[in-house]
Amino acid sequence: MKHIESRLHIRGETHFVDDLPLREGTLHAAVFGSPYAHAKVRELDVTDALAMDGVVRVVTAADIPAENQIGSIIQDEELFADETVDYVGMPVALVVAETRDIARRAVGAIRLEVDELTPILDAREAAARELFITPPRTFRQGDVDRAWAECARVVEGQCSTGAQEHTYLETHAAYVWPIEEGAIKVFSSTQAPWYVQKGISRVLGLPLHKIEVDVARLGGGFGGKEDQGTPWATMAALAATLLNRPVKLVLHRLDDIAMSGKRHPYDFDFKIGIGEDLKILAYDVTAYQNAGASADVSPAVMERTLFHGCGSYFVPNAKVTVNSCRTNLPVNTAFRGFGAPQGMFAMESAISAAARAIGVDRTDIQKANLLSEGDSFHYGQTAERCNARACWTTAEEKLGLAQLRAEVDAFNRDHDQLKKGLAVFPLCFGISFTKTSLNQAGSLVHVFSDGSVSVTTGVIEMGQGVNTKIAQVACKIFSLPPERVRIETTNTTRIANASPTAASSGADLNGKATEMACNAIRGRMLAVAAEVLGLDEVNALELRDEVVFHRGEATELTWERLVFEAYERRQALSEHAWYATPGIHFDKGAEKGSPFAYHSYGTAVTTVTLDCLRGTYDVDAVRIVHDFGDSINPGIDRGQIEGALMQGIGLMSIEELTLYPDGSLKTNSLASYKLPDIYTAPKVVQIEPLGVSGPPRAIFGSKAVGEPPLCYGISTYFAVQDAIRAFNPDATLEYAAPLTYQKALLWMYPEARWG
Amino acid sequence: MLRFIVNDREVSTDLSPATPAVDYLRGHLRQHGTRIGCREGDCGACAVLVGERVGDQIRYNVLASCITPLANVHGKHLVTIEGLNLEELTPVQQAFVDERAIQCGFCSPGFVVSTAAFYLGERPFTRDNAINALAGNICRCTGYKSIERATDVILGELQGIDLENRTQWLIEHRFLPPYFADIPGRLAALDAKPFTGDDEPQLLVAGASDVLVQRPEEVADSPAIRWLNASPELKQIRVDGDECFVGAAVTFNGLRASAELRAMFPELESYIELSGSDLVRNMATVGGNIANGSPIGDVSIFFTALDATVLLSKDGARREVPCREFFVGYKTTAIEPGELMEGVRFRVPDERTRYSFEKISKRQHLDMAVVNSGMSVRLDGRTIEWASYAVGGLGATIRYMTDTVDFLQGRTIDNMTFHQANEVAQGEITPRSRPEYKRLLVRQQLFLHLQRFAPDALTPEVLR
Repeated sequence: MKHIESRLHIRGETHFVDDLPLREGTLHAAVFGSPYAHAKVRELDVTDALAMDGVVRVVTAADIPAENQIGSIIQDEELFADETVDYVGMPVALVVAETRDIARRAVGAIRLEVDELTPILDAREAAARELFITPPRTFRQGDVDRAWAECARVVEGQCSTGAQEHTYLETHAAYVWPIEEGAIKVFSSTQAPWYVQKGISRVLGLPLHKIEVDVARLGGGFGGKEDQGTPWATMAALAATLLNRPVKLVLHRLDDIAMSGKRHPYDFDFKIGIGEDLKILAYDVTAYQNAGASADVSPAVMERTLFHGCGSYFVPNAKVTVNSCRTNLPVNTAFRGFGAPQGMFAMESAISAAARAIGVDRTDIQKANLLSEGDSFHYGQTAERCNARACWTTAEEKLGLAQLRAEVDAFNRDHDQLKKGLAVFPLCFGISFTKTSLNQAGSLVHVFSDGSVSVTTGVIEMGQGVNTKIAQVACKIFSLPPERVRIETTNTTRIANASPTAASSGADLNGKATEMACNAIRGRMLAVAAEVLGLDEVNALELRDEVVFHRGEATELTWERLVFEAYERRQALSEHAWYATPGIHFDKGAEKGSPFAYHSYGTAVTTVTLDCLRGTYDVDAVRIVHDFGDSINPGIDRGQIEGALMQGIGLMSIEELTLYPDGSLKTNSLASYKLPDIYTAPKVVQIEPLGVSGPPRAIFGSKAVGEPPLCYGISTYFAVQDAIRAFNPDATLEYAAPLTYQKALLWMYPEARWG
Repeated sequence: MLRFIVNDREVSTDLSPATPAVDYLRGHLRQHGTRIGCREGDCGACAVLVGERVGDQIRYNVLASCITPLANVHGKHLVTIEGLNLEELTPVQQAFVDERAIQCGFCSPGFVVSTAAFYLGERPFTRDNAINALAGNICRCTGYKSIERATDVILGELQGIDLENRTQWLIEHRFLPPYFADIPGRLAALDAKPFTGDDEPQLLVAGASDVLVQRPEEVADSPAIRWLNASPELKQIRVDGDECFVGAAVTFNGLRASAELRAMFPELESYIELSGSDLVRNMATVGGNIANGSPIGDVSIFFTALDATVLLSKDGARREVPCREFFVGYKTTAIEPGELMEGVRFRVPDERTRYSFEKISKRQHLDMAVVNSGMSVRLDGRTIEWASYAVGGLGATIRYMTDTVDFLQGRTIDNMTFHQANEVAQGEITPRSRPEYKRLLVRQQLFLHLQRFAPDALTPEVLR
């Protein structure tokens, strides 16, 4: 099935939040953000802003009727800065005006007087001062301290990964209407309607049932709208309630970049021990996560780094520690991969450092240590249906790994000014929210009297095609054509307490709930069919292409007729079902358990061409063997891989976020923060399915595909390093993503001197 | 009163001529398929076509409507995604759907509009040109491979196009709605006089591609703007004997399309493609780039490296300032209040003159330079008789490399000359930021320039 909204999208007829028809009396808002990274507030002067024509009100912390608090995991985040400002861009006030232009201009007239404090921007520095979001955590397996002595080679080093701006094309947006009895209706560009609801509830002091949050779809999310849809919707709700008028807040791109959090930058210290047989005997890594000024989902991101710290490898003696460090930067947040790519990059860096020290190819160490069936992860789960080795060997065979290596080497022998490089990356990604309680979802299915069907789930469509997959579930169980099934907006009045759409889990959780709801209705309908047909063997009946079949033969009972008969017999044609992933658990005391429903595997081979005069490079090809299970929608899944891969390549190559010493962003716009464009795309992306069936906890065996393939981008980094070494075998290479053209050129010519 | 055609509807408006077209389309006409992604021409979500009469034909260009003032669409045909829709999907839209080149959908209309600019445009229907037409459209979801596949399908559908009767063919093959056939006549009937704005201006605006990003409020509030794009004399490229004049309102794509300039600079197209995307190159002007005084202006570097001269006028009085003296400080130039830049003038390169341009940015395409440079030489064999050399990105202004030019003149291009020229060049620059990298880039670009002039005379070992 094609993406069900593709016709709407390609004709430009979609209503994103900013496209909704305006309600009478609508006001427009803009946010004043702190110009200081860290300061005590002396005075906030909004007089000039208020005096401007068309300005209706300036809303600040003083206007909050209940609590100035929107933190989800830890309650440490103010909606509006009050006594201190903690990062450049921290919201301090909201201007509400007749037009968006006036609101933005009035923001420019607000003055903030402060006593400046020293900002802390660096995670290691924050850790040294014990500025932690939450206490550091460590996962352990075996005994690293005893294992070092057994290693033939022990290598230590440091590495780091940078921030990444989500750059969903639709900026944060919210539109709030006051309705009767102090209740409000909220249209929000959020991945987490329930979080928006809870944020508003806490700030306004309203019960959740008075806050309706409705989301049709997002113009991209990538994690950036998981926790961070909340502040803007809450501000708009506060203003709408204070003024009793509809209020719309759509962030200007510059404000969105300045005020919203990014992917967490990480610093790592690693120590890896290798045996004579190239087995990784011990790995000890300590991470410093730069969380920014408040917790947001940083503790959960930290947890995923802990889970994925050993990558796709079996490490008998492992110790993975993560420090979540509080700094004076915007609040870093979820971003596709969610701490996993950072942890995996550290492991790949350690392997590179070890390979260089020993004098072997990276792939020799990688291949020797891939997870096998029955291996224990360092968090206690056993690798089941483990496809790590199968993906690697399939890559060797189907992708022709040895041949690709030979082509690269041959090219390099013949070329001076261009060099090619190659790197392999094996993927293992755990699927489920690591917080077990989030692994639940609801679905509400209605069969209407004309035979049309609507489905509401708690999942948010943001381009990933999850609503198409949900529609496929309903179509499959009812055996209906796509036109019969409509996926409704996600709405808190229809599905309560929905987990955010995150952790690649949306299709599994909400698909399973939809499967349950559809099966319940289908069961009742087949009972009716048996009655109508005068048969008592319900099990011999099935729905096929809008007709009831009996023992493989079509009956005269059509879908529409069956719906009518069921209604006449007063059978419920609606069902609300709830799914909770069975069998998963984690004990945070012991830091052991079985938190994941399953793991997703793959192997990527990346080749690049480096311009040795300019330092620029192109990704020639990324060839992937991916463990889809039984994909229910190969077209959508391919798109997820290609898109995630591009973001992963961006993270490793050109996407560089830089700061001024005062904590403000240098790369504060799309003119200075460069996203991958069509020329940045790899020339070839080859995707081969592994061809192994999926696990039962994946919807119809179709494995989650949202986040895992982003990690394939990691091999870009090491492929470029491979090319640099081909040009200059003595180059001293660091492990500090992104590998910008600047780094590539400087590493190639370390001896450059001028008079 | 501004008058123009939006899709198939004639409109007039009393809004300020400085109003960005996207705000008019979305806020006043509810054409919300034109989306706001960045408001600085860097994402393509707001792409529109603007068609203007050339003879009895309409020439369509794609523009970023977020930085297109309404003044610049006066008398023209403004086309949004809604104006390309038919009852059923067009072949372009169908290809995007079939190849699953749509995920969140926010950017999708922009890609359709940019594709329309491709098949309505002058460039040959090659795959490279088709991809290049999309280079200003950012998609954060798909990773572009599906968009490339859709583009391949579309190229196939365009095979057999009758270029003599292009509009008719495109209508018959459902690439365009039928109303496009009537637009030439309707625009002629509209008979809108050029909108030049104020005769005693406080602000001169041409393409507006930078000023609407950097100083939108100043433009919106200015009581008196003269709109230079409406002045045909500023859009000329003329060759008079051994002098070439390029008008200040010539766009980047105007440079690229100029037969005269392409003859002088065979690699011109590849240079221009390093500056912005079509969305911006169709609006950004030579005069705007130079007057802006940015130390990394690509067009400024291009002309400074030609040792060109800027022509200024005020109240009928003209004066000329060489580019190398024109840039006096960060975003400050020799232009005096009230002066108008008419254009630039340079000596037409003879058959022994060579030109080279290099640019390195954080992304290879459509990005601001970290360091850009241009060099022009007249050669006698491998010996440099005359040279001109300018480098951007090293400080407050573009650097005219006087010492290096003096050194190079009379030298023969070889490893030793490069080595020594680099010593001289390094001695006359003081990069303000990232000095280690920028010095290395200056050296590498110097090598690339000289290598382009004498391909076999230099060996990369000299860089080790």
